[in-house]
Amino acid sequence: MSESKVRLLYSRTNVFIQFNDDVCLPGVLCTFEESQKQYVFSWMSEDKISEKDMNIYREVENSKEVILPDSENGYFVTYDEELIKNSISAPLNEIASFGTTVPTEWYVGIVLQLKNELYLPTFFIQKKQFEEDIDVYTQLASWFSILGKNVYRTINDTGSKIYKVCDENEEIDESSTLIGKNQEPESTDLGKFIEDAKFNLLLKFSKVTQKGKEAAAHILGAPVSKPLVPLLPKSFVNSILSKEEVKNICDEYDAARQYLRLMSKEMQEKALNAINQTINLGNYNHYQKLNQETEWHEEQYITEIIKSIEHDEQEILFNPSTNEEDNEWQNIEMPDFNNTRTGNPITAEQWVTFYDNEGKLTKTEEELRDIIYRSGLENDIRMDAWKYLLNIFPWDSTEEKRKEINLTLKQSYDSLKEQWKKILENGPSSPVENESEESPQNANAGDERFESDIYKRIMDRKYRIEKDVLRTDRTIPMYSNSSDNLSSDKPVIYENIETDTSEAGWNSNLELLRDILVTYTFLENDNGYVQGMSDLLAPILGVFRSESDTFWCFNEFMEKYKNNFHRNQEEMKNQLSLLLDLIRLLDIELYEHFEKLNCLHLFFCFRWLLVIFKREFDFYDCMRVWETMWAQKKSDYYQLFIAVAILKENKAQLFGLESFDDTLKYINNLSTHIKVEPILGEAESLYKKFIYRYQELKDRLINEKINYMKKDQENGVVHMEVFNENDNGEQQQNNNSSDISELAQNEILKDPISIINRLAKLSNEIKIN
Amino acid sequence: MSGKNLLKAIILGDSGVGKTSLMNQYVNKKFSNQYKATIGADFLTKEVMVDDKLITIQIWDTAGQERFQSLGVAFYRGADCCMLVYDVNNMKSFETLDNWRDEFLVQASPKHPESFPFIVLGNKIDLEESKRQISQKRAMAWCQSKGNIPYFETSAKEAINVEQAFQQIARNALMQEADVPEFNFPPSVSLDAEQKQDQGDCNC
Ligand SMILES: Nc1nc2c(ncn2[C@@H]2O[C@H](COP(=O)(O)OP(=O)(O)OP(=O)(O)O)[C@@H](O)[C@H]2O)c(=O)[nH]1
Ligand SMILES: [Mg+2]
Repeated sequence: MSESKVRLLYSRTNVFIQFNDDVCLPGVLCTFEESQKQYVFSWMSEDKISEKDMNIYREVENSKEVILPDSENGYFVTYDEELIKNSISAPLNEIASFGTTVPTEWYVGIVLQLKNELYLPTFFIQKKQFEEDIDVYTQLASWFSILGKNVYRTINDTGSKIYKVCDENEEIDESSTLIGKNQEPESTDLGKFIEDAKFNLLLKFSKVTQKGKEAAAHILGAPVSKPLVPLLPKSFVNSILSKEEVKNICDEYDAARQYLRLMSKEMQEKALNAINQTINLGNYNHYQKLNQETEWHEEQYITEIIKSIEHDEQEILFNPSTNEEDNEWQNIEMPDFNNTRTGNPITAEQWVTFYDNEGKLTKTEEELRDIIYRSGLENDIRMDAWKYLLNIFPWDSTEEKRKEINLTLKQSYDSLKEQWKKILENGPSSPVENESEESPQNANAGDERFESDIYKRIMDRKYRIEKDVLRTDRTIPMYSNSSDNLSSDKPVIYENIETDTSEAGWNSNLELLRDILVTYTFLENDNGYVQGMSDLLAPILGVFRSESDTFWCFNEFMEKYKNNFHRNQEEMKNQLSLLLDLIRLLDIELYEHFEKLNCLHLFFCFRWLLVIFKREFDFYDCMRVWETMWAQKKSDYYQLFIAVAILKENKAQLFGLESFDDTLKYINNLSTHIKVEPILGEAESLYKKFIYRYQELKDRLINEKINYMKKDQENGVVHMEVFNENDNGEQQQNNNSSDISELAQNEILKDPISIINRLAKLSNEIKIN
Repeated sequence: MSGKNLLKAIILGDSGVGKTSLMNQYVNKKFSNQYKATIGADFLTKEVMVDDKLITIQIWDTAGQERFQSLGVAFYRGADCCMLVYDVNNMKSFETLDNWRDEFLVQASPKHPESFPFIVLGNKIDLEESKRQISQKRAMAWCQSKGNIPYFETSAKEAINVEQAFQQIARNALMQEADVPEFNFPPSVSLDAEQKQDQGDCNC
């Protein structure tokens, strides 16, 4: 293999990439000229670089002068197949934008986005011993200016700074600031200024700590340092100064408390994780906070706030104070989180007593919903009660009215079924009524090619439905092989086969499942048949046994959940991300555990939510779960509370698992072993706790924001973003603190991706004004 | 290089071709018509001897319906080998093999896509000959055109060729592994390297 050499222009050693959760690989970040005027930005794994080349990389790194692309002589390094395989590279031309993570004492992460919108993995650049600041942006910006491109700083929707690479004559929006053209580090920005100062101070410490604490105290006490003390890691400061000294300094200047948080290790990890998430999983958007700088980011406060809420709850619960001093806690009333389940499902005898002579329910809808929510139903009254829960019967209907409803529903079902049966009988080429009204090639259509010929479409769906019906609840007697309800009809799969279809156990109940599903997809043409639907149907047929009742109840059930099956899967993603927020609020330890395992996508809960726990509970217990969900009107996402309840129930075991694989396996194996009553009880408690904690989180987050804005103001920082973002754009400056609280509240409440607004969707009892 | 002793295998193919049944036949030596359609993903592990070496094979089974694939792709990462399954009695399931293979290569982005260990299984050969829609010849031609992918005709129901197919893929994966560096980069990287490989492909 020919050995190819390239001309090295820039190099930086000790740059790490992280992959496979916790493995970090050291490497070299560099820019080189691959061929004439073709510049490549690359990270190469260090262990693939020869010792000789490594010295060249170091030489370039340490050289004081900038190597210009057109200079005569230069440094050449090997760039062969082996290196290419072990490198991550992009032509400079392909880089669309870049940003950095919050710098720590030891490193800063740089994130590059390519024009095709992919991100390169984060490169973590280690700080050198006496280095003031790792100025990657200026370096990169100057490279781009050599390429004839401009670099602009803009603020993206999440409030992070992004450096965009633009062609010289490209249009950019006015809010962007041109940087780097004259290779001048940006200095107009206050946040950046503080960052610089902070690093300078840390730098001094790195020299000083060896000399002893006095010297450190001396520096910290010096007037120029004082404002920066609060910015330093607390543990570090505490180790040097006595509490009293720290307090004195900090009291004066705790203005920058926020920065302290920013610097805390925990935040760092969060930021890194967030970035890893974006690379690994792409889709789970609101964790894509790339380069957090000094602007307000609620994300930095949430964990701490939730922990403090949890802590305060413990205090109230376990320290019922007797002495006077503690009455700080005494005045706080914590709501009762206990559940109200009765443990005795409503029996047929009880149910009949709810009716009057006319066959009208004597209790109100609210009362009945409440009883069903707390007790559940015995199986033999479900066929009546479910029709109320699923909006088939009005709660105040008379027996006569209901008979009428049943009859109409039966007729309309029969006619729907009749229609598709006829189409099938007529065969492929028959002219079909209404076909012109069919929606054309539809993006939501079933996954299989959306047949424009209606005959083919129905045949195709029928085939796919049969394939699944044959795999639905075959252990339940009515659907099992041994069922004696033999069917006269053969599924398509067995059409040309002589063998006895009863070998595969085709029976009349499977046939009903199939007919109902085909009719359903005939009515709900857009989504087609999607796997999981047969799972939802089987228990309903189990309750009603009658075809048309089952069909209409299923149809109502699907009204609530059909988005789960939508082609774009947005609703599933939405639910998984709401579930994540909910876990975080209700059990921060569990959240941190999943975070550690890199499982924040919660994929192991996918099946739970797609088919609403159908696979998780036993056939009849699942009915209890569903009727409980249907009865309550507290939340349109009650399933998420049930999900958290199951996770919490298994918390100890989950904590013992160390990988996503093991967690998925464990959760899949819970299937049919989950006890229904304790879970529903826990779900109710969790809902109550949610309401309480939500309010606390909201109040405390707004408080943080008020403090944040006040502190900045005391320091003379005018919070431009706050004032500018007023709708009419006029600049108001108001030091009045009540105005600040109002502003802070508005800022949080109007932000649609704020956790406050995300969580608000989880309860119909929460109103955001 | 001693090589690792955990192999990650992914089973792909249209819904209903028999992925779950094949996996269970191989690991649990059982066929049952009580298996449910797969929702989400699951895996089974099995310890096997391959050429005097004890390895654990972890077999990942995901749902076949297309719209659930966007979630399934997360599992492709880190795969050592991939089994493509179709139903010999269903034309469409054969026609989609191309898609499954392409999608896998894009999502898993293995380092050597041209030599990545695949295997193709034509399943359900126990059904009557009259139902058959894809001949062995046609399937083998496809496999040949994709770089000589090994092909097996199987029945999860009658346990025909199941053991053999898994044994083969495990062996191929181990061989492949012997000359590949120990780590895989996450996808979305090595843009430059990939372009180069593409160019290399045109020569053949
Ligand atoms: N006759 C016969 N039937 C089979 C064979 N393998 C699977 N089946 C049947 O085919 C149907 C589908 O099998 P599964 O293993 O569930 O298919 P899958 O590929 O996992 O499907 P999804 O989970 O939906 O992606 C079931 O009814 C099986 O009983 C086989 O080798 N011969
Ligand atoms: Mg399956």
